[in-house]
Amino acid sequence: MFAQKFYKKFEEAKNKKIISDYRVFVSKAKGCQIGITNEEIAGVYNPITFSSEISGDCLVQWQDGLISSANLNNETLYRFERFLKDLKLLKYKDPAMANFLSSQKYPSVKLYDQKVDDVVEGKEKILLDLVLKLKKWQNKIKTKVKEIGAYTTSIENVVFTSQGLFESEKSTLCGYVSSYEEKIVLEDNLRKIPEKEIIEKKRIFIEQFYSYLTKSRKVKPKEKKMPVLLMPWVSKDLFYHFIISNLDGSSVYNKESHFSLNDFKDKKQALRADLNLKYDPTIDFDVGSYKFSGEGVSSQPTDFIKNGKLETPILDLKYAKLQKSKPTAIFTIQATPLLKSEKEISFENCLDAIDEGVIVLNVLGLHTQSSVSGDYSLPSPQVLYVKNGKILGRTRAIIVGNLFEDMNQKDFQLINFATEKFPGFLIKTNVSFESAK
Amino acid sequence: MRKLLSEYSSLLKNLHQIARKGDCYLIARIQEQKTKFVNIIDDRIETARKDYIKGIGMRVFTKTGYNAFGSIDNIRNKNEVIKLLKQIIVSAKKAEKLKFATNKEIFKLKPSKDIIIPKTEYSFESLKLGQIKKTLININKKAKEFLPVKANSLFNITEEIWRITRSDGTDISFKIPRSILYCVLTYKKNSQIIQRSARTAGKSYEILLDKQIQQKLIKEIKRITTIMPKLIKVPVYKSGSYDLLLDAGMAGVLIHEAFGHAAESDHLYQGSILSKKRKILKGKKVASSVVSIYDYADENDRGFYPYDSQGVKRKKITIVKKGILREAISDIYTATKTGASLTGGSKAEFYSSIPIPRMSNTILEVEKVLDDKLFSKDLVDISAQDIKNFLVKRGILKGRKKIIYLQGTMGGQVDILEGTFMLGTNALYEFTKDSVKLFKPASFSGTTLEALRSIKFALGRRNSGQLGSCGKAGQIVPVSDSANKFVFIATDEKIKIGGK
Repeated sequence: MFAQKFYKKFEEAKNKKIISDYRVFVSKAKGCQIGITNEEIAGVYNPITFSSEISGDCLVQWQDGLISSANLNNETLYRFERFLKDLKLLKYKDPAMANFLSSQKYPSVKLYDQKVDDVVEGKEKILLDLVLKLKKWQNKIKTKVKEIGAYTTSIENVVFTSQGLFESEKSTLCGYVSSYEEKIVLEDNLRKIPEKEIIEKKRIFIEQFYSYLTKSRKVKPKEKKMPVLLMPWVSKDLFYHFIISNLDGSSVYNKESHFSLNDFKDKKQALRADLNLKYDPTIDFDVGSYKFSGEGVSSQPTDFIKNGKLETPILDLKYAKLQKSKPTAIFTIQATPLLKSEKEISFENCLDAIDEGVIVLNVLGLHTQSSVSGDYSLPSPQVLYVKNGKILGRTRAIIVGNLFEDMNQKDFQLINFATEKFPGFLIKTNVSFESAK
Repeated sequence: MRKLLSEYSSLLKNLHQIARKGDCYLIARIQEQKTKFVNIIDDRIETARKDYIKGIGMRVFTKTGYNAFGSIDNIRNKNEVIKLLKQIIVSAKKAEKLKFATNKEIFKLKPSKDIIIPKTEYSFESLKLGQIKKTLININKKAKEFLPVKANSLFNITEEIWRITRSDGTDISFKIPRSILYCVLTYKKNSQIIQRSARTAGKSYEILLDKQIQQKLIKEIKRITTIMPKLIKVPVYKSGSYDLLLDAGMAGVLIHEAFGHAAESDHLYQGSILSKKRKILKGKKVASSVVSIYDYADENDRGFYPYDSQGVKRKKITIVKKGILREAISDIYTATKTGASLTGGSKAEFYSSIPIPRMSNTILEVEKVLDDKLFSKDLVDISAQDIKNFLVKRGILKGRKKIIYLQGTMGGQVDILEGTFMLGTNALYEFTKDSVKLFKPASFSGTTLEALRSIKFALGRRNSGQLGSCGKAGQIVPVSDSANKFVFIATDEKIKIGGK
């Protein structure tokens, strides 16, 4: 097993009293991908690609109590002595960081699918069939520019410490993306090979909006404060940028967050009272699930916001220790948190209820907005205009507001879409429009 | 001079032999990268780490131009690397059998050999953690003297080595040293909070040790801390189209985001505002006649790559001359196909990344310049009031109710197909004949060609602009840009400031 080689090296260093404690997380990943740009299958920018890599991270405590951290890969094994020597040059004092867990109880979370692993091992035809299917769909509606891709990855993660912890997990990932002239994207990331019926359902939904974006007439409504429906992929991006990033335990502790430590102690009302935010990484085959964190912390569901009130920041071992609390679920890149309210409505009902408003299908430059304030001023080249519950035309717009304020308004609503895990947001905010010329 | 990564010469030779036996053309790229990262919050170390990456990326082409790509980090395990190469040879042949996309441009390249190692004042290991810590604490301390902020300084030094070999005998190796320092400042008053950052970049530890560089950074921090409490209180500006004045940072990012990406040959081929039927619109007027745009980085510029990721020498690229589109940032695969000349413009972030056309240091040069002694100063030393006074003195505000000055940038994004862009600002000022008023930052967005055609003149000559990173197709690479000190854009209904 690949992790044993790392284990032996670190144990040896401990036995020789070069280091006093260590924590290691290593990951072996093998991947395969294929893509289409315009009509070119597996062209120069999207070739059939195979990759194989070992990556990881370690935390080491020296005999004097100081600590060091660095990344790991295959090369580490070949030059371990030099690696430790270099590591020692960057040792520093951080008692809160020095956490080395002993053996833990872990939940049984299913994350691995043999069929995905087979693709990585040379059965790439499944991926090829998938991208060809996605291309065929786009050809049917005559898109001019298409960018399509599909990938599979097989991963083995191992975490071990000098205190007797040694745990491993196997997982797989499979995803696809099909961009319709960069106006709208059909995509998903899963643990298994995607089921045809589910992709088909998503496709019908996405192509319906592509049709509105290309076939409806251009309009220029009057600038004003109006209902704005952020599609789920837009609302998720905004929610991550402004809300989740401000729950980061390090930012909260270091006073770099919108929220303070006292806000959590006082269970401050952060969002409207009916809103709840939970993250559960123990759901079988969910793309955001995991058995253990990179620090060896057992996966567990965590309530971050309950009835609109702050419950806990996102805490790793260090910030859990500093905040005298327990570590929480850690958001992974693929995670979709559960944002819930009793007052959720369906997209169809939401549309019916809009007298005059817009649907925002993407925004440009979210990363340029300061996440701590919640303020945003975001242009969108893909906007649909809604009048009396009907989509009447397309336009470009700029939305301006503050997401913290939006999510405390009585007009704010979570909107459910049959094909999306995360809800869309209905907010009331300022909208200005570009000329219809 | 000895080749870099020369310990892999035998492996590379072996790989090329195997590719040849398999009737394939091979481009092999080995990358070795070390990075030191230190993060100090106020006066204590939050993180100090050293990361190291090494691996090989291989692309094979069949004789008919079908290709496949593979990457592996375990470069010392010859058998594993060879196994992967054989796997991608099979895949390229599968692509041939299935008649996927073909591209034979690579066969047109002529072989070359070169070794480039830029000189740096300090070696990678020359500064100890204690010295780095001391400097960063000092920066944070200074910031806190100006305003009670949370100060978070992040220093990163990287040394990147590439060796690129091709089946035609090409063997290029080069080293790229670079460093960057950010100081992120967070200010809280009552329930209001604001965050801004100052930054500087270079090749090595000089950005920590050079007194002039440090003084300039501290001045920038002072400017930011002066404005932060005001930004909390000021209102949001009214949205609309206005006469605009951009500082060099903002103008540089406008050229990078709004225009530069559209001039990359993969985007031209895909269909950008600068191409028609996949061909570059060479000779088309795409900007006002006072505007020229270049992409070129010397070894002191962030974004410097002497050769591209296929081993082609990177050229100085004149993208626009006096408003007319001339060249593209092109790679071997789409240069000829788009009617552009080959400029060696591809980059790959890692050995495992697929190379794509990328910018290096993008330069906006506005020829019509209103110059003054004021503009010989550093940008950080020129206040909004100074600029407004100059505009009044030169009669530019005469006949205009107002000019909106956008100071500093938070970066931006472009929609290539639509030709629309969005840039974030640090601050927005309204200049009238009698006043200078500060407002909350707002988005600056619009259509690229209208923005470039509306550039009328500049204040001052070339100034360094933004030093940072650019993301494309999931790859983040270092870039920089520069422009005149200030650039004036006349009102156009397709260029908007987002506000209330």
